[in-house]
Amino acid sequence: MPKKIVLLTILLILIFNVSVLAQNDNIKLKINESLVTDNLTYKLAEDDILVPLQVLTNNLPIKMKWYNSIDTLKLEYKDKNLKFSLGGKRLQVNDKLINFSAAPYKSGEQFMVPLKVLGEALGLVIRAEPKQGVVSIYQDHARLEGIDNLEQTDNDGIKINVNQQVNSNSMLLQNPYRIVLDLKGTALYKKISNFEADSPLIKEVRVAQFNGNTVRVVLDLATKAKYKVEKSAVDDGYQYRIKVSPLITEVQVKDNKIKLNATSSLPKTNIKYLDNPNRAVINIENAILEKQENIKVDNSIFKEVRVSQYKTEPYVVRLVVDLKDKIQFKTEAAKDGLIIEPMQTVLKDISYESKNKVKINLNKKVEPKAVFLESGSRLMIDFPATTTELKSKQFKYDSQLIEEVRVSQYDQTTTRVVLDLIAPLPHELTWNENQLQVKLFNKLTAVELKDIGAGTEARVELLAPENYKVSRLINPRRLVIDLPGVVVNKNEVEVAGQQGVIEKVRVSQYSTNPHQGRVVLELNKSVNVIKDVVDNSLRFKLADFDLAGKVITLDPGHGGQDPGAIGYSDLYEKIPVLEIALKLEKLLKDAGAEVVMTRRADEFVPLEERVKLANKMNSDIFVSIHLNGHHSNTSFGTETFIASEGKKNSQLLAQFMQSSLVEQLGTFNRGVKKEELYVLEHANMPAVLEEIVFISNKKGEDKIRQESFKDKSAVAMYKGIIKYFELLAEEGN
Amino acid sequence: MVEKRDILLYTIITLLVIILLSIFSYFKFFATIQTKVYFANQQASHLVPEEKEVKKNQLYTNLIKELMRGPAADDLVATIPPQTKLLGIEIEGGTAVVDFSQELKDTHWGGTAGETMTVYSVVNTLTQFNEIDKVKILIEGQEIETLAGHMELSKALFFNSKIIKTD
Repeated sequence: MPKKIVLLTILLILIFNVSVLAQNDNIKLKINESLVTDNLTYKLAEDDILVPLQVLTNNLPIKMKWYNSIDTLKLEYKDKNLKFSLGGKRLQVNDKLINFSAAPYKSGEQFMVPLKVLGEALGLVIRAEPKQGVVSIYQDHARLEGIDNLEQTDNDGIKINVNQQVNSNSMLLQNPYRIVLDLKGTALYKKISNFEADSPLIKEVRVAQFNGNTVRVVLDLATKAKYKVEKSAVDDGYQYRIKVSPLITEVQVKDNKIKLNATSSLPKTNIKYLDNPNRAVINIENAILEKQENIKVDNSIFKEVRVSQYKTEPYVVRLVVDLKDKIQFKTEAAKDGLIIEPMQTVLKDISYESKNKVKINLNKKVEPKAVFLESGSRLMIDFPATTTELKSKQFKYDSQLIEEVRVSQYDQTTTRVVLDLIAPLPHELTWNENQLQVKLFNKLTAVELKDIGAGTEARVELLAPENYKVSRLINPRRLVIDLPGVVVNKNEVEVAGQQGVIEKVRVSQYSTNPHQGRVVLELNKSVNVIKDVVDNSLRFKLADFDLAGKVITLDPGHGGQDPGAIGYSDLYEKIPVLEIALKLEKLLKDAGAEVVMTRRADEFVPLEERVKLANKMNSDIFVSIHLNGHHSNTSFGTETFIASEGKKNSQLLAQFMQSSLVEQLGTFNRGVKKEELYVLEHANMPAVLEEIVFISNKKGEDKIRQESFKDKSAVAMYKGIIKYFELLAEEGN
Repeated sequence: MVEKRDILLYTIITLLVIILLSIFSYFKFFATIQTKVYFANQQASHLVPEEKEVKKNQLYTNLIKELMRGPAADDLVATIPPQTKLLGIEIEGGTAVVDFSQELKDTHWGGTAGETMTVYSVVNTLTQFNEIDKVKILIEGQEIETLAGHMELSKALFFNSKIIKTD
């Protein structure tokens, strides 16, 4: 309230003191727009105008009592009781005291009272129109306090503040389009100038006292629009809001664009995307739809466009676009509406990386549609809403799986990449940022087994040639073929049963990250493997294991003048070691080995010559055969010696020999020992020296005299040698 | 008279000197030292030391003679064929060159185990002293390729600790 008083005060100062009204000018007084007098008696005071009290009491239902004795006046109007004394500046309003700016006084029969303060205190609206020389008094009227634009976040429109709720009605008029809001029982007690609203829809806002009872607000519209009036209580009164929204008059789908024609620009939009079915939902805020529409479209992007008034509080128009592909849109506000068009993706280039990976680089992600055409072994990848910058349209790569890659602009909006493959291959599409990676995998189709007379051939059939890795296991005997980048779909692979040395074939997808297929051949004996590749067929010829190509030097100890160890009953070591060596020679030769003997008869051969021979013959291994002796006749057991600096392969050979001898002969295991023995120290190849038994011991000598024991000794050493070479073959592959 | 007394004095002094020298010589000739002599075990898998008190005079020869004499313990085995004679030992630098008679080779029982026991019993027994690093075995003053057809004896051998068992 005090704020308003100040405002009024300023206004009155303007009216009365800034000399618009001269003291002697005639002033008309209107009460509720009815002329009371056109020659009002008045006296201007500092910032008020003193008028005869009778003017008010005669025309308004104000009760007045005059207490002559105390020069005091009492006024009653509605719920207001006013009391003041002539000549005094104090005014009692009910229980409160306020001040007059000028003291009331008696002039003849008339009480001259300050109209501004008194009228205000009585709850009247006092309006001065200095140019017209009119003072208007309104009884029981609301006051229009101000008009402003709606906040920016809101709709377009204006807000009108009135000090209390009033009756109102509004209408939309044509020619030109304008919105009229009448506020009943409202007085415009101050001048509000016309103003331009902050909206392209509203040209001008005009406010006027339409008649004694009504203030009229007119919004001149730039175009046809829809509006609505909202009202609510606010601090210090009541607010009327006229919200104006543009009209969407037409929805057009043309080329790959959607155009919304509206009475104004439509800047506030948001887009959401849905899958299954592919759909874009576009909300347009503060827009009113003239008519709901479902538009069937048949082009490369759209299926149907539906538009509806999604909400009225606030106004939101919703556009639902059913799409053929998962693509994205951008919206652009036009002067007369909105343009919605697909965001364009650009396919920039295609490159190839080893491991059958094709990389497609785009400027942004777009959901591709990949179709595999089994008949043509062709992978077709369509990128919707995509154009290509590529000049070269065909690519050939050094890939065993891809024949060619082609790129084309399939239609206006679709870029198509076609991979011509050698066969219907498994594939995988993955995004790495804006790069689509197409990975192709070789596939295992069959494992066939064939009898090839000298053994069995396993054929691992793939869709394309492939690198592979073979490893062997000895226990259990297995051949494991690892196929990197190969997909194994067990149900689709034809797997042979049993054939020759192959007991069973197993196939599996050993891992999927990275892809690795595995074929395992279970074997029933040790084999030699010859590998071959014929087109898409990896071939493994498996023949019984042999020692073909191996050179083995056998060294029967002592001989001639050197009898070696002397047995318990004077058996000379040199005799049985030769016999055993010759037996072993036969076994090894039968297995395909080339055998070099350091002596074949009872003759003396110096140690130096024995080892020189082995080195000269480039032997793969050197095996020296001995029988042990000691001064005591109680020593027993089998031992194997290697050089003091015996290398890994000597160690391996020694271990196989020692364990085979101990196992076959049932002798005590004295272990593998490193010793500076002449032949071992000077051999250039893995070399061992076998001490089969102690012949200084009676039992040992007795055993070695038996033919069967010598046979067993030879077989035991043969098996040790075979195991050694098998292991080398396993490691070598 | 004066001459007779002088002769007597000289005689006494001379006798004293002789007596003193004899005492010193006695200690030098008959002093002994605690040593280890290595013999084979029954299984010919390890050498086992036996403690021997050996005269310091001609120490190395005495040691090898102890070795040739064989072990005191019943469960140990002699490593040198009994007919063998020691022909001499010479120390050249840190190498002991031990010369045996032909019997060491000719009457040896053989076997890699037997040979290593014999050779390392000699080597380890002599290399227990700081002044001997390695040992070379000769037969009748000659270098040999091998003793029993396995070990390389044309070179000197070092102390072998892993062949020793002490318990």
